[in-house]
This record gives sequence, structure tokens and C-alpha cells, in this order.
Amino acid sequence: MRTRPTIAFLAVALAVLTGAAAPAHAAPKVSSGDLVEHADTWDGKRVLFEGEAIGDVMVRGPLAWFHVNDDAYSDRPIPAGGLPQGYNSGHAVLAPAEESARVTTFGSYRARGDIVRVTGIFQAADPRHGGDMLIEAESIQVIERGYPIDRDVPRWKLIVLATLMPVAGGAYLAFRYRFRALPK
Amino acid sequence: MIRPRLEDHVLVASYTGRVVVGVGMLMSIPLATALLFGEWEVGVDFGIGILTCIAIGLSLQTAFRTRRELRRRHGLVVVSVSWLVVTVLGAIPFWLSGHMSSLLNAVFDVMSGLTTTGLYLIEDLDHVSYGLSMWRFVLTYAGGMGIVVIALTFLFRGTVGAYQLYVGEGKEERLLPNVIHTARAIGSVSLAWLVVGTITLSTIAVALGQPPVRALLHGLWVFMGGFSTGGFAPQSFNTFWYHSPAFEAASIAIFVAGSLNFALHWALWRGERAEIRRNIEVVSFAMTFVVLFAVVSTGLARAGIYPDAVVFFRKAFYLLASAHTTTGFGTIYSRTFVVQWGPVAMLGVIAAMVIGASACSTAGGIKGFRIGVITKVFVEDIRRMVSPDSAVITERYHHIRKYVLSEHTVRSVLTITVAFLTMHSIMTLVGVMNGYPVIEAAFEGASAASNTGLSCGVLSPTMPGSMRVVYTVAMWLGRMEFLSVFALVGWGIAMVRGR
Repeated sequence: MRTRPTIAFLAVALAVLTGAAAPAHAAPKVSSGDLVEHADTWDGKRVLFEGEAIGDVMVRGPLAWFHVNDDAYSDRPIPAGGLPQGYNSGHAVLAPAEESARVTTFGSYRARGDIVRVTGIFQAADPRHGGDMLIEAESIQVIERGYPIDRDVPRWKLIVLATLMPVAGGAYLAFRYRFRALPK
Repeated sequence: MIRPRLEDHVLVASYTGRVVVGVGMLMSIPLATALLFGEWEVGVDFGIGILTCIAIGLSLQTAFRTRRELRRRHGLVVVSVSWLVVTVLGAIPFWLSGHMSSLLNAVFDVMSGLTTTGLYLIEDLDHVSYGLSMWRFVLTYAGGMGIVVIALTFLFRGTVGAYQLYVGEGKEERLLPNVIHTARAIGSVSLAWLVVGTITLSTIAVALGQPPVRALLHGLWVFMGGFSTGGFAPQSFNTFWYHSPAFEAASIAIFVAGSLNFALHWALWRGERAEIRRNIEVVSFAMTFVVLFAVVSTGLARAGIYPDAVVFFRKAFYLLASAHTTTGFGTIYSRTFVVQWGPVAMLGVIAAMVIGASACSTAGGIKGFRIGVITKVFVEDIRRMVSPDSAVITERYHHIRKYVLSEHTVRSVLTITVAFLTMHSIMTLVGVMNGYPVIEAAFEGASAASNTGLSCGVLSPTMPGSMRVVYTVAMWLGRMEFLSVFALVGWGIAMVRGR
């Protein structure tokens, strides 16, 4: 007899949890290309967008702006050994400041940023924010932490540099010698 | 046609060597930046670039030593050759960075920077080092002032033939009797703006929430990209990154200032404020801006994407001002022009880019002066038609002082205008032949040829190689206003057919 209330409790808890999570999971996952190319279609709809947080977060009162790139470099940036695979592409995100605080590492030459999952409403041209195209985030989840990028100078570059030093020095000495000999 | 003699080639090679050394010295700025931020590999890249420039530049001067001064025909050829050599050597740090998928793309980006265009093929811009970023902006800022003039007047002792170099880089105004002093006056005006503009933008960026060091760098770089009407920005989102009306307003003030004739800056500097409402270029710019704003507004109203009046004005004004000054800053995604703005608004932006801003500024395009003169010619012809045969009809225009419209001025204005329009047609044709829609081919072609830098999404690192070459040449021709390039072609023909 004790098992019935337990099962019922678990069922209710599961229903509550799935219900709470439903909006996030119901939102279709979109790419930045989809959003820009079909802005009218997605305007005002709830979307799920994943990518690398880049640059910095700009906190302005209760809200914060940041940018999320869903391009090939969110997997492996060029400074981390990635290959050139086209332009960056991503989207602007406007989030409550406390939500944005979850993102701690932003992509740059020195770091691969956090990979975040943003759920929110897509605005094709938000009149409240200067007509900017943006995702108004309802929730932000960090699904993979960023990491620092350390680069060693390749040996071949050091060899080229070392070779060029005497060449440039020799060119300078030759220049000094020959110009001094030139009649004024 | 006189065949260039050996000593003429020696002179061109020697001066090219000087410019190459000058560019190597400019690379010390990004080198210092890289070292300051501990970007050692980037520092090595710039070390290689500097040493290559020094080795080649000094070798050229040693092998082709001369103390002869430049004449007009040499000056124009030196400018042309120097820009080509410098473009290739300036691409070394780009190429070594690993952010370019081909050397052609690296050359494209350097040409775009030097010509203050702002189109780019660099990949993964959002992970680029501070050192390489600094090089992009030094290129565009120096290119705006005239890289050859900088090399010869700031890094070396002055030369008598410097005026030929000055003219060759698309500037003709003498603010002061001595061209070296003129070039230094341009430098002083630009430096004053640099200090004020950087402080303003950096302060706003801090207020917007950027960390102080990044705010300072972004302020400096956006200033350099704006005042040079280059349009490069530190992030791939361009000025859309900041989401701020204050930042947009400050950047508009900076790129409009950059698009004004340096002679006008100088007149205002000396307190001649009336010049701003009488000057033919300012009047021409204001009139074409109003007309084109009406065109863009009509297109946007039909598209219906900005129902709010303030937002409508903010987006339309910023993008049109950016196009008309040939800056290329953008607060929308490239493809938004196509998928949201539509063909009417795009045509307005294309026209703005083609017309461009002032002569003797950092801007490109046909230029307001030429549009003003062509308008005056039309007015003169209409007046002549309705006047008695015996009437003497003359048109005047004001540019620092009053001028009577002469046959010679009209001829030179029409020649350059026709050359520009022909180039725009060819650019559009090349795009269409490569499979792009007419409006997109025209937009991107106009952007490259007028040294603007706005994109509607045609340009990409994987675009056909032939188009990347054509765009590179168009940026070069547009910045040189054909003169120096034609001089180089003439030099080549004279070598074969001259006597």
C-alpha cells in the first residue's frame, strides 16, 4: 500500500519537472543562418540556439548583451588549431543580467568561450532595442565550459626569423656603405 | 611617347624601397601591441614581416641608389608600384596568422585596409589576436592618410617630389604652400581627431559594460575604422556589436568628419565657419543624402520591418550615412539587406556608395565635388537654352574660394565619372556572370569599387578566385582614382612602344 503514494508522488514530480522543462525542449533548435534568412518566419517565436559565447558580456542595469557564435570555430577556433572554414556567424542575445552571469569564459584569441544553450524569443527587429535582431533569452545553460588557448611558437617560424635577422642586418650595412659613397 | 630610361626605373625602384621600409616601420605598432599582450607567436609573425620589409626595402635602395628627385610621371608610377609591393608584404602577418585560407585572401584584406574599403576575407575574426587586429586598423588609418605620403613625409626627410606622390594617392589640395607641410597638417588634424574620438568612444564603451582595456582598444579601433571611412570593426558583428544609440551617434560624427575634405577641415580649423554651408561638396552631399534618404525610406516603408518611427530613422540614417561616406559600418546583418530591406532600399544604398563623399578625404566613390560640378553643367546648359544668343553664361562654385566653372574642370570631372561608372558596370557584370542576382552583384561591386565595405552577403572567402581578383583590382583603382594606375599602364606601354 505504501508503494502507491510513492509512485503517485514520483509521477507528479515527473510531470511537474517535464512541464517546467517543456518550453525549453519544445523550442526548435535553430542556426544563425536560419534566423537571418527567414527572419519573418521566426519573428516572435521561441527558439533554442546553441553556440560559443564570444567577446564580452555588456551588463546594462537588469539586462546584459552578449553574442553567441554557432559557426565551425565554436568547436575549434583557429588559434586552438582549427582550420579556416569561412566567416564567423552568430547571434546577439539579450538576457537578464543574473542569467548571463552563468557564462564566465568568452571566446577570444586566448580562449574558447563557454558553449551555451539559449532559449528565448527571437525578435527580427525589436523596436524596444533600436530595431536590432536579437534573441531575448529566457534561460541560459552552459553545456560545455570554455578553456584557455595556449600557443607555442612553431619552430619553423623561429628559424625564419633567425634567418632574416642577418639578412636584414646585411642589407642595412650595405645600404649605409653605398649611400655614404654616393656624391651629394 | 618617351620610353623610360634606365635611370627612370632606378628612381622608381629606389623610392619604392623607401616606402617598403616605411611600411616595415609601421608594423612596429602591431608588434608592440602583440608583445604588450603576450601574444608571442603574433610577435614573431610581425618580426618576420618587419625584417622582410627592411631587407627588401634597403636592398632596393642599395641596388638602385640615386639622389635624383621625382617628377610627375615618376611620382604616379611610384605610388602604383609601391601600393602593389606594400600590399603583398603587408599580407605576411595575415598569411602567417593561419586566419586566411589563401595568400590571395590575405592580399585582398591588405588592399581593402589600405584603400579604406573594409570588406574582409579573414576567417574567424572573433578569435583574432590584438596584434593582428591592430595591424588591420593601422593599415586602414594609414591608407586613409596616404601610405606613401606618410612613409615619405613622416618617417623620412621631405622630398621635393612629394607632391607627385600626394597627387598619386588621390589628393590634390594644398592646405599650405609646401606639400610636406600640407601632409603634416593632414596628420595633425587626423591625430587631434584620433585623441578626441578614441576618448569619446572608449568612454561610451565602458559605460556600455565593456571591460576598460577592451573598451580602450575598441574605442581606438572603431575610431580608426570610422575616421578613415574604412569600416573595419574589431568583431564580426561590426558596429552592431554595441547595441547603443550613443555609440552609433559618436561613430556617425567620426566617419562624417573623416569623409570631409581635409581642405574644409583646415578652413574650419582656421575659423572659417561659413565654408561649411557654401562648399560645393557639402551642399552636394547634403542634397544627395536627402534624396537618397527618401528612396531608402520608401523601400523600408514598403518592407514594413521598422514600424517604430525612431527605430526606422535610426537604422535608415545610420546605414545610409555609412554608405554615403563610403565607411561601411553596419548595424544589421549583411543578408538583412536582401531578405528584409529589399531592392528599393538597396538601390538607394548602392547610389549612395557610388556617389561617395568628398575629394581629398579618406572617402571613395565618384565624390560630391564631381556630382556638384555635373549638376552645375546641367544648370548652365539650361540657362544657356533660355537666354539670348548674345548672353554670356558662366557658372561658379565655391570650394574654399570661388571658382568659375572651366572647360578643363568639366572635362576632367566627366572623364573620372565615366571611368567610375564603367567600373561599376563591369563589377556588376562580373557578379552576374558568376551566378549572383543583379541587385546583389551591383551592391557588392559598388561597395568594392567605391571603397565602402558594406556587404549583402556575396563576398566570402570561398567566392570564385576571379571575383576576388577583380574586387582587389577595383578597390585599388577606386582608391587611386585611376590616375596612378593609368600612369603605370602608360609606363608599361611606353617601355614597349616608346622611342
